[in-house]
Amino acid sequence: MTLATLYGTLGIVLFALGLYGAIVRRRVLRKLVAVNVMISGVFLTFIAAGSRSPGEPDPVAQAIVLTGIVVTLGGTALGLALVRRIHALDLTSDPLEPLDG
Amino acid sequence: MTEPGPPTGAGSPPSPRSPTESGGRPGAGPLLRIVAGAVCAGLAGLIASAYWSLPDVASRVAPLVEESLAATGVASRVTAVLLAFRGYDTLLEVTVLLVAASAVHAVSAGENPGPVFTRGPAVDALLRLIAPLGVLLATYIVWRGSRAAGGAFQAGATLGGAVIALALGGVAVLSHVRPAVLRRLLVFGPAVFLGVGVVGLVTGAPFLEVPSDIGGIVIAAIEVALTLSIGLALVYLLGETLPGGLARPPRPGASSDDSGEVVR
Repeated sequence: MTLATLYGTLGIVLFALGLYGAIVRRRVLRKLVAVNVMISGVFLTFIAAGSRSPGEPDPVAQAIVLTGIVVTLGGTALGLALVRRIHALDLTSDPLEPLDG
Repeated sequence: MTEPGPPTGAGSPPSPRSPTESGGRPGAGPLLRIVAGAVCAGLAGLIASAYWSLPDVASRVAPLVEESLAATGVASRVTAVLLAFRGYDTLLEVTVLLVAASAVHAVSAGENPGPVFTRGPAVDALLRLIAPLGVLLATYIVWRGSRAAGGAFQAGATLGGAVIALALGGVAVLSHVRPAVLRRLLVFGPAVFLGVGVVGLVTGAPFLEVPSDIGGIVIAAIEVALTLSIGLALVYLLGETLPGGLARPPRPGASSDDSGEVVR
C-alpha cells in the first residue's frame, strides 16, 4: 500500500463519517461541522489521487483543491452566520445548544 | 444505542437518546442510525473500490503544465495553474468569497457581543506579537508564491487571521478605517484581476490572458491585490460570525466619526 492509497482511503473514510454525521446529527451547527469533515475527505482523496505517480504531485489537483477550500470557507462562514441569525431570531428551539445531537 | 457499521461508528460515540428529545423535534432514531450507517459504509466501500482500482498512470495534465510554464512568466506550478491556466476558476472563486462576505455582513448586521479573550499579561504579549508577525508572514508567503508553494490565498488567510486574533482580544484594528474604505478594499483584488482580464480583451488577447514577457509582474500585482481583499473578506466572513464585531466599529452608528480608542 502506497502513501497515496493510504491518504486516499483516509479521505474516503472521512467523507463517509461526515456524511453519517450530516444525516444523523440534528443540530444545524453539528451538521455544518459534519459537512466540513466530508469536504475535507474529498480534498484529501483528490490530492492523494493527484500524487499517485512518482515525482511532483499534480499541480492542477492542488490548485483545484485550493479553490475548493476557499469556496468551502465562504460557505461555512455564511452557514455559521445563518445559524447565529436563526439563534438570534429564535426560529427553532435552540440550534446552538451544546448538547449531544 | 445501536452501533452503526464499523467504518462509520468510530466518529459517533453511541449515546442513549429518545427520538424526540429537547423541544419535541424528531431526532435520529436507532433505525435511521442503522440505515444511515449502512448507506455511508456502503458508499465508502464503493468509492474506495473505485479509488483502489484506478490505473496507475501518470497525470496527463502535469506534463502539460510543465511544458507551458515558461509561457506564463511564473515559476510556481500551482500559481501558474491558479492565475494563468485556470484564471476563470480563481476569478469566480474570489467572487464567491466576496458574495459570501457580503451575505454574512448583511445577515449578521448590528451584532457585537464584545471581546472573547480575557486580557492579561499572556494575551497582551501574544496580541503584540501577532500583528507584526502576521504582516511579515503574509508578505513572505505572497512573495514566495511566485516561486514555490504560497500565494494570495495563503497570505490572505495569514493576514486575516492576525486581524481576527487581535479582534478576539478586543483590539478592533479595522474600526479605525471608515467602512466605505473597507468595502472598496474588499472589491480591490477582484477588480484588479478583472481589470487585467479586460485589458487583455482590449489589446486583442483572450480574456484573462497575460502576455508572458510581463506575466510574472502582472500576476504578482494581482496576487498582492488579492491578498489584501482575501484577508479582509476572511475578516468579514469569520469576524462577524465570531463574537466581537471585528470588522465594524464597537457601536452601530459610530462608523465615520473615528472615535479612536477602541482597545478596551
